[in-house]
Amino acid sequence: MLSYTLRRLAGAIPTIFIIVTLTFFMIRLAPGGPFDLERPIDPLIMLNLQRAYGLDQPLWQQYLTYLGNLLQGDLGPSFARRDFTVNDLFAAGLPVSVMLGGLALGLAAVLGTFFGTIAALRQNSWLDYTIVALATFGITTPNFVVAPLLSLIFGVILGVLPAGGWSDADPRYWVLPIVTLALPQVAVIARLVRGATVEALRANHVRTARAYGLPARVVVGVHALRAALLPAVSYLGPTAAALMTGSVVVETIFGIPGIGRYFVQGALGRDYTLVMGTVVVIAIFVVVFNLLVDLAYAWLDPRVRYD
Amino acid sequence: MTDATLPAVSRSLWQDAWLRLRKNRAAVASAVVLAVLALVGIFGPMLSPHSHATIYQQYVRVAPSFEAYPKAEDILPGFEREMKRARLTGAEPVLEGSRLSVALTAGEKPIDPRVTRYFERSELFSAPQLDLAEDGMTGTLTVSVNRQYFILGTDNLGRDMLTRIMIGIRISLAIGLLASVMALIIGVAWGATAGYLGGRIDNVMMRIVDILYSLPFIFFVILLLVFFGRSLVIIFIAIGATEWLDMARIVRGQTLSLKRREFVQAAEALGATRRGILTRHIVPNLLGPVVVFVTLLVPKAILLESLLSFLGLGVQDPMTSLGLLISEGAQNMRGAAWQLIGPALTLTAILFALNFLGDGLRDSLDPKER
Repeated sequence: MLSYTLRRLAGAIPTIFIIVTLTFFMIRLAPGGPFDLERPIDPLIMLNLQRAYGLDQPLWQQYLTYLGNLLQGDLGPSFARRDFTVNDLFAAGLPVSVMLGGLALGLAAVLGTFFGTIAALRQNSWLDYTIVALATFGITTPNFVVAPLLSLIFGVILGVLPAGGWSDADPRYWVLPIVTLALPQVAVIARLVRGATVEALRANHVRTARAYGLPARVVVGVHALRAALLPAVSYLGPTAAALMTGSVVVETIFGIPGIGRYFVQGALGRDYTLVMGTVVVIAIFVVVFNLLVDLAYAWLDPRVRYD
Repeated sequence: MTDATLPAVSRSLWQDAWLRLRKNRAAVASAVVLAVLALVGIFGPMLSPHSHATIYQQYVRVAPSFEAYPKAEDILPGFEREMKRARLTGAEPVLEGSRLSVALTAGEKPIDPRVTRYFERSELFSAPQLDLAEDGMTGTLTVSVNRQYFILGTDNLGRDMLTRIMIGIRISLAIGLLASVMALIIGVAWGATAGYLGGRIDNVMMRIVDILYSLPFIFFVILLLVFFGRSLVIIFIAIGATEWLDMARIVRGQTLSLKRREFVQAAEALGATRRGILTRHIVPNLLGPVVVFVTLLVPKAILLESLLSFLGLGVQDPMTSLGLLISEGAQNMRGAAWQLIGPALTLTAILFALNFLGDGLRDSLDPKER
């Protein structure tokens, strides 16, 4: 298991290298540049700007410079936010995004599994239909509707929680963003777990467990749940990476200083280093969580072997 | 003597599934709802008296009602206004049905027949008809009142919500279906092949998925839009091209546990080809989870499109989609709730129907349900 993990992590290095190369050339070949304004700048100033950021060198040389800096953990200066390096921006924003995303993920996993299992156990009862209907509602409502609604209800009308803004120390500011992030995931996980539990409850190993006379709580909670979690675990890997690297919508609406906004801003403003930095961070998250998913698979399903 | 209780021919998996699906009332009802909504999306905008892009400046943000606009109390003031512009004076106007007529009284100069233009240009009235007396000083003016119905109200620019919702259904269903079909085909083929073949091929194939997955969706879309210009086709492609990755991962996971099952080993022992095992044994057994995932995928594609619209990268005005309508409605929900409720309910109806249809399909494809 340990050697598998190490091999996977070693195997991730070329993956990240390919991603970095691909994005570097894709964003550079896209039309437009970081200093293109509505009003054209004086050519001499433009030349000086480009020299200051090393944009006057040939592309391959810039690429090598970037790779060299990346290996030392230096993501370079931001083009649009002068006086900030990309490292500074991430050092400030990443902890916020990871914390919010992680809490939302935990909430979603626990609630989703709980509701999904309950629905499957009471298949085709009113409880099942209610949970499926609510889950459908959760999936169908976009977060840019949920976020203003929650902010309106709890922040403005009831006045129990802050309508927006951020504080590292005060958890009351975290509640609405976490709920907004978690709601659709609760719904998806509940549906996946319900579908898989319905199948698992009819599976041979569960019938055998019942025939042994094991208590229902063990049959469902251990034998059926293990098999039923597989699709949800597959789903959770990429979702975890997406949640922890921040959400543009939630950060914009609640005014949270996370890193979710940087990507869209960077790509639209051709802030090359910011885009590259975001891509590297997201890539690392995706690689790590996909590895965790595969390890969880082997742990949940004894038929899956990695050797 | 033949035994009447035995069926003459055996039923295939699909015939069997079809029979079971027809018995599932929720699934049949959902299929009907989806069919009706699809027809509304295709033909509704053609039959609607309004175009989705027509702006009625006088009817900005009017609430939903079955009453015709202009309202009864607004017709006469509107007519007075036009009369003043045309510098006409007359007796009390008489409204009969949709025809409004007035006896014009004499002014200082003869009445210019071109005054009818003022009424032609007005949004309230049309077909003005002027009958002048011999001397041209008096006469009768008759105009038609343009009655407009905005059953679901209008948006901030004064466009009919009903027509816009119907266009939204058309665009959203098209995006959801095309993107999901694309994701379905690529994802199942890719995931099943990788999971079944295993080993080095699996490693390489899933590494490619990892790489593509790590390129964030928005990045991909922005680049595509920058390179190829903004269009609906690019949005289909971008959504389809990102959604198959999830599908491939789920299918691979299922295949990994399927391929160790006895029936696959039995097929291998009987000398079936790998291709045959994949298409005859692995893929049909994958259908359960895959169908459930597709019912989640269509709404997801619709919602992704709305996220793009929220960021200003999606469908462009005056074209619209349900997601775009909802995001516009969410901004106006305090003053004009109907702008949010109409599209949100429509989207919810579509997604509910998709979900129940998907559940029905899953139950009917499950051979253990017999």
